Amino acid sequence: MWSAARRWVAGGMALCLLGAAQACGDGPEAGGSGPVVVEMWGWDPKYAKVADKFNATHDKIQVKYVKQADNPTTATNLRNVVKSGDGVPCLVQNFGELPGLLGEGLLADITDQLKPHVDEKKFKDSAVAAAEIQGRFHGIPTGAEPAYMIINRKVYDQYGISVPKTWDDVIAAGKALKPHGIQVMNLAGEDPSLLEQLVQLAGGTWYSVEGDSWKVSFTSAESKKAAAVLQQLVDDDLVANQTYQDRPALIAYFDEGRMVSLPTNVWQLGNYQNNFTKTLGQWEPIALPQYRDAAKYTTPAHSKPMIVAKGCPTLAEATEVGVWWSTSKDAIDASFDEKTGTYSWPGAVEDPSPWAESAVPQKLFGAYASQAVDVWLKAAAAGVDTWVVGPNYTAVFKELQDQWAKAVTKQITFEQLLENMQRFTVDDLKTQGINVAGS
Amino acid sequence: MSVVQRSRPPGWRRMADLKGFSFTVPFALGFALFTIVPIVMALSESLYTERSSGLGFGGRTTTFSGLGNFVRGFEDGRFWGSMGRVALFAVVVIPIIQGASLVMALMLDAVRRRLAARFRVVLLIPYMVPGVVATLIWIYLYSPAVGPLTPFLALFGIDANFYGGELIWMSIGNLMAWSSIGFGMLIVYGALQSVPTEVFDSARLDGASEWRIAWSIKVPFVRRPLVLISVLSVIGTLQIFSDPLLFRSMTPETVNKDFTPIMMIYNQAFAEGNFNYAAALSIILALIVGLVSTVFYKLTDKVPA
Repeated sequence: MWSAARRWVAGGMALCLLGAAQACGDGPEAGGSGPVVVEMWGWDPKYAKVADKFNATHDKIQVKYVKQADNPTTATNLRNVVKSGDGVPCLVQNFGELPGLLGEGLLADITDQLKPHVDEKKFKDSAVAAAEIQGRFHGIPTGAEPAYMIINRKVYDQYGISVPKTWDDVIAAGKALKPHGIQVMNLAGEDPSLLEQLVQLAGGTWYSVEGDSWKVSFTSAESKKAAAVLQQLVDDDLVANQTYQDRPALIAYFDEGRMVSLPTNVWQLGNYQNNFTKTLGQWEPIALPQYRDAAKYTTPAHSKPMIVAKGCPTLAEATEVGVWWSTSKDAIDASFDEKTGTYSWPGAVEDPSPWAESAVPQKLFGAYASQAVDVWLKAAAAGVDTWVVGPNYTAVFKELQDQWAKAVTKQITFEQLLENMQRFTVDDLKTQGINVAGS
Repeated sequence: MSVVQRSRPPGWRRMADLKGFSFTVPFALGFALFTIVPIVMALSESLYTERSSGLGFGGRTTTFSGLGNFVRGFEDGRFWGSMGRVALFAVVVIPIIQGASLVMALMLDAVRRRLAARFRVVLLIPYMVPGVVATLIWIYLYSPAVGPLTPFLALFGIDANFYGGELIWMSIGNLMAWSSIGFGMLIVYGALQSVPTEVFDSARLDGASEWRIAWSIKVPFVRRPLVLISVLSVIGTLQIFSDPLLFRSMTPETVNKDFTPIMMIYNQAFAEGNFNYAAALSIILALIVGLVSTVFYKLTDKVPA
């Protein structure tokens, strides 16, 4: 039995703990006199350093950065807190397409807070489009990385193949390399991004708004043009299907010299440089191939803005943090990654050149290293974002991954993929009670 | 001889019952909190549907839809496709695992006890390895690029793609067998130890061979534990999730997002945020697992003649 004294001690401790918990719950904002605290979630290791930089350079607003385990965990956690209305963060690293997240009711409307910054031209035009839905802003523009390709130039030269400028050239290169056991590209079964990019290059988009309804265009001429390129690559066995999940296997495969063209991101290059051993110095950065009949050189620059969560109590301060994060020199400088020696690509600003040079992987590109900055800056300048996605794109993308996996392994054709996606998307929109044009 | 009867206070039996029941309180609380409450919540969620309108940007409204999610679930070809896929897998893999467990237990029973104890520990090690870790180990072993199995089989002219459509279920089944045979064997072996040795002695005196003893005496004696581990396997197999989910990361061409019922439920709930429909599918799956387990148990759990 507990003695009366022990009961008093236990009770006192409980009260102390309660008091301590209460104290933890009070942020500086609660007092009204201290700085406003903006909570931010993300899983990118660089975010913590950028948040520290913000806190070191600002007095009235402070960022409370809460590291998340990964992309899916962030999504689940945000859905839970927005639903409960308790503990909602203000800024969240993006884990999906904005219209889909808005359709789920996860996003705040920050038009009033962001519009002055957009009018001041703090962001480049192609970065702004993705944050705007039906004339309202629902995220902080972050911009896209330049779209380009690296090729194993040594292998291209070895077989007398010129650098591909069009997708027809890529197919022709694939046919010339195939007899030598070399595949021109890798189409990973989980990653349909090349299809999305090719549709954008053709000037297409899968969603558009007609009045108060969505028009779904998976079977458009632009989509079929993209499908034709991919179908030829797959039908003629010109591509590999190495997954990006099995990193050691993927790196080993890329480094064998048996796969020679790779659309990639700037941030990936450090990993390739650190892990390649046999093909260092053989890779050349080149402009993204275009369609033969392209009127001008363009690159797809659709981006995924930073999320401003619904329920954020301090939209003005959150927007200020977000704008600083995407556009300020301090923020971009703070994103420096010692391991790869590069900064996060500053896709939202008009001139990314001050940070481009550091991203050049000298060992990976060897004699071709001097071309990299030029390729990236031209690609960034030619970026356009006409890509629109609908409110159900989260589910649609999952289905697209499944269909893509079947298409790249010849279980279905790419035209069948488009037809299946058209049907799935229209049915899914209708199931949710959303208007679809022509149905 | 006289029997001394002590007088007991009134209500002692009730008090004894309460004392006995109090031992189950920790379990009952956990069961209520982590099983009953989620089931009630899932039931509640499954009766509602979130709907959008217009362009779908105006937020969602939650409306009572009665059994609408269940009707949708019963008409969903993908869900039943995944159910059929897993059922077929269970029909093949469970008898193989149970058969292997039984044979190994009989073999273990045939050797001297000290030797059996050593084997028993070794055979149980795969069961001790956490499921996700076991899957990661086998994913590496199966990997056509960096795993050792593909080049090893190539030495014999065998071109095996463990991730391909033809072999994926065999790959998962092999992993499942590797993990669970030791557990099944241990249960059956334990049951064999409880068989009175006099029965074997009599059989031997009557001239029965060791094969005859195994088939006619030992197997009927371990029928009940076999049924038990079979029921557990049925439940586990119909709910298979982590193995195919991890295989999906390696081979999305073969393992799609709706490959098994739980994968589809997981995808609906956590990738697409459709908790209501996911809750309805969970309840349908639970009912089917319960039904299949009951029927299986009724059909197989008969007292040996």
